[in-house]
Amino acid sequence: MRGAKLLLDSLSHRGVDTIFGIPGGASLSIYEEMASTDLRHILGRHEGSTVFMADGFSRVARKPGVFLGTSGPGATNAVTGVATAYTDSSPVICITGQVATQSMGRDAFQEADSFNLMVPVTKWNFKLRHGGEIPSVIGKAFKIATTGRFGPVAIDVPSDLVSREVDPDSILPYSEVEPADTSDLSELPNAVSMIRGSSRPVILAGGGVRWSDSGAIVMKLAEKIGAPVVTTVMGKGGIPEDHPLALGTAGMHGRRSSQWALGESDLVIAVGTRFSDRTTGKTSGFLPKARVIHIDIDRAEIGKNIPGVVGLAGNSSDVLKAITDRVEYQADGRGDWVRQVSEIRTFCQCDFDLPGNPIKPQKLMSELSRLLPDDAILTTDVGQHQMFASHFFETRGKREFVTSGGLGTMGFGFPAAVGAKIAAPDRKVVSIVGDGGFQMSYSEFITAVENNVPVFTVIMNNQSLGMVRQFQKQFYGNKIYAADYQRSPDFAKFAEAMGGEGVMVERASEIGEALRRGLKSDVPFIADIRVDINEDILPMTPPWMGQEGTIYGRCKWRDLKIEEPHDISQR
Amino acid sequence: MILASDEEGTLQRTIFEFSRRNIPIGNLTYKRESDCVTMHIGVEKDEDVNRVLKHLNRIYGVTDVKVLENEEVGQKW
Repeated sequence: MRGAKLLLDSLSHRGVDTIFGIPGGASLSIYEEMASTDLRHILGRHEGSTVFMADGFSRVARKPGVFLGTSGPGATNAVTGVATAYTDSSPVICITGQVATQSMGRDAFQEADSFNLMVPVTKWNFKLRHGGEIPSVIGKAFKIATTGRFGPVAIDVPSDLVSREVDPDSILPYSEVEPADTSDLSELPNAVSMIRGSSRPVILAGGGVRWSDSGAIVMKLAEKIGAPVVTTVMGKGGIPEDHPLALGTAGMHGRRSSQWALGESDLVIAVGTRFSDRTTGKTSGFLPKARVIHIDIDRAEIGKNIPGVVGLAGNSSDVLKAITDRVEYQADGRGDWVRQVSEIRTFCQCDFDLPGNPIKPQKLMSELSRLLPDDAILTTDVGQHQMFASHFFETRGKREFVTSGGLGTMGFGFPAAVGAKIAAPDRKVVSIVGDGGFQMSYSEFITAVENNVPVFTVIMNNQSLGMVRQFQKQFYGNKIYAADYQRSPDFAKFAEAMGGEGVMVERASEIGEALRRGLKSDVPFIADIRVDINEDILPMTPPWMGQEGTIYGRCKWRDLKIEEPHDISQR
Repeated sequence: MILASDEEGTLQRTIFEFSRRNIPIGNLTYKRESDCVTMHIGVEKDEDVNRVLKHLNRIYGVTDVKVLENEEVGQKW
């Protein structure tokens, strides 16, 4: 059997039915074989955004999305996509062609050291040494990507190894890789005791809750012990935000209710979070009164950014179940805490359906929250719109929130939506993007058109790199430089030129109708929503400052002292 | 001291775990025997060991990580 066929058969054997890729000289044997298979191939326009598609697929399907690229620039272009997947623990399988083994090291055409380029941005990577390794390497790659903390795995495939026949006798048997069991629940009795002794517990749910699909057990524990649940940006969508104990996202642009709960808590149960700087801000002022139980599948995360924690290493679902089974129903005993949380939550459910023109981003988020189905998938790009969505969009029901939270990669949002829609074709997939980020990967719009992937793109268009502008305004002497675009495309016409549909919206009263059209469309659709360039995403706590440095803007909390919220119910 | 399988990449990943944490490597020895490799890495500051230890342990292919005292290093190197 030819190496290329062995490779594709090995992928099919792992359940792969879709490959996101761009062919090139070093991968043409694989494509030659693929032409006679049932595999669906999504032909991207740029390797970086094509990896984002595979990543979006992974995040929604909770299984590996596969990218196939060529050597040299095919691999170097893919690095940003793979790094994005790595930072957010997404199990992308990245396969890149390589020059033939006899040419390696001679600076051949389109030769790059893909293996070493991928080392820092993958959980593991392989360089094929002979064709007989193909099935075992593919098997190992899938196992490594999807066990323990998920992560991308890259495979470098020299062209001669897939173009040639593989001697059947040389095929290595695949021995199942069993990663060492790194779980450690030795502190479980201590953790249970801490929960029993706490009077103001809070659960902080991170991205690990989404990956392990442990939202239901998080809420079960929350209800049992009377704990509000706060999420990180990566944890958003892991729990239903319409639950009375859900307070929304914490962090730099998070909800003040969440910041308040973390500040008041005497015990934070952190689940599947790495305590990123965007969640903690200045760590010296973070969790001033709380002890911390840190649950994570990756032992290396426990104590990395927040020291002195009680660590429980293991799968979030398993650990939470073990805790939930051991703690008694305690919510009634914490009635005062639960009542206070409820008042704070109500106070923080502000009316952000801001009227008037130019359109306020909050108004757009209000309409999206109102009109998207309860099982919609919202992907975001990176910037102001991402933080507006994180703060204001409600992930109720089975809604999902897909975002580049760790690396913060602009250009991610739209291609990720394409991958998400391929993973979940029966659900509405909406991509909220800024005009800056969209222009980094909008060449993939035609990819969506030609593959009949009807994603709906909502551009929060302020004709600017809004977050850069906001930082310049707030922290760099209000010198707005290289942030505003002098020219901006007509994205509705762009959509039509690519074979999709689009509409430009300049008045708040037109948003609802535009969103309804986009949700009904059976072709890729763009709603180009022109928003107020001067509306910043606030509140905001700069990461180098504590809560005292928060800039509140319209937020009602500006009139309160955060340490004295007990009189909120009277306001 | 780091023991690992001989799959390509363990050396690069080990060095990377130091460099990404801005921990200078004072000395490094690498020895491959049959199907496993042994690395001895020395750092200048003792506190840097704790910063990198857990991250070395999670590299696929690494089978054991041991912290050796200076006297032990003298005996084993």
